[in-house]
Amino acid sequence: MNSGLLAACLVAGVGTWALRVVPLLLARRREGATAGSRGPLRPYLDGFLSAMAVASVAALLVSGAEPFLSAAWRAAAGGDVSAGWRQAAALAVGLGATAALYLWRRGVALGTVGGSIAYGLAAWLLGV
Amino acid sequence: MPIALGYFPVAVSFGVVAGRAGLSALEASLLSLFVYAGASQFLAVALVAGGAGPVVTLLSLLAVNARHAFYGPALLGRLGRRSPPRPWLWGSFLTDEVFASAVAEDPEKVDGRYLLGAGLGAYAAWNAGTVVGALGGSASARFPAVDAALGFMLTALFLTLLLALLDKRQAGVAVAAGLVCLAGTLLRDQATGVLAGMVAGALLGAARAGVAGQGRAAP
Repeated sequence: MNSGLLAACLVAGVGTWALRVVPLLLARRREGATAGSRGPLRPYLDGFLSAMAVASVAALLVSGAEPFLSAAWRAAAGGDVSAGWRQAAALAVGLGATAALYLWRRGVALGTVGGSIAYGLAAWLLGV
Repeated sequence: MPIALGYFPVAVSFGVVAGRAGLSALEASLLSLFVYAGASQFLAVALVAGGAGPVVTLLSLLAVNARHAFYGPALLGRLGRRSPPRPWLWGSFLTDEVFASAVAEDPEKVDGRYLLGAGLGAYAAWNAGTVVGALGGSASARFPAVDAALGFMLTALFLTLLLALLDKRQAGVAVAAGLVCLAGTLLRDQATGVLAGMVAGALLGAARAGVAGQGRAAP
């Protein structure tokens, strides 16, 4: 067992817990203190917080897809255009299947697992 | 339940990646038990595999997880007076996916039982999947299609969550967040890109809400 990694795990765990809970407790206290009052900045704060979910998941999606796109770009820029296209095609199949399966049944698990299987098969068949 | 079902295979892929990076099953499990934040755990494994020290790994984990600070207040804003008691408990399990699912759900249904049930179910699935992946992950190397599928799972999970959340009014927010995230990732690193993207998208939402509020207030 790597003791440095264990220490990093413990401190990161406490830090992540604090990042989740402390702002929540502070916001709850503030809500209680200002219940019913609406300052001029309140619509901006409400808009900021209500857009947060879509913004964070969109950013995480792009962050997750970026390595696949970068790999395709690097392959094409390195002269192997065919490999770049095959990597991009596998990514398109994966994303398309994920979206189609999700929209079909509105199921997060079905979209995630089915889309990943489609990506795996496409990557394997295309030799990615 | 859908979050737990979606989490399990992603956690298996995390266990596999951790095992290949040289982490023992115990080390991978401790990361999942203590940190419990998927994207940052993948990053931590990549850093450890690349020879980064504990301090760099710790700071990177916290930088990637900084976005979680916004989730609790955002959920409170949505639930208003219906926000459940004991936020220190259900807030502990407020991951990207639990938060996104709670926001996508009808606010009438989001009570303490919902948040704690979704959180604990996802936590159990994440830790069980990590153990399965770390112990049995080496077998997937023999099956290239399975290996590739495991590497794609986190991206697929975020796409389904985005589709669950998205409506026409917030399409611009998603596009802005995605473009800024891409620019930040390419110019600096993933942690910066994600944080910059989500703040940019949320600022666009704030600007729109503020303009709409002024429009309503005008005589």
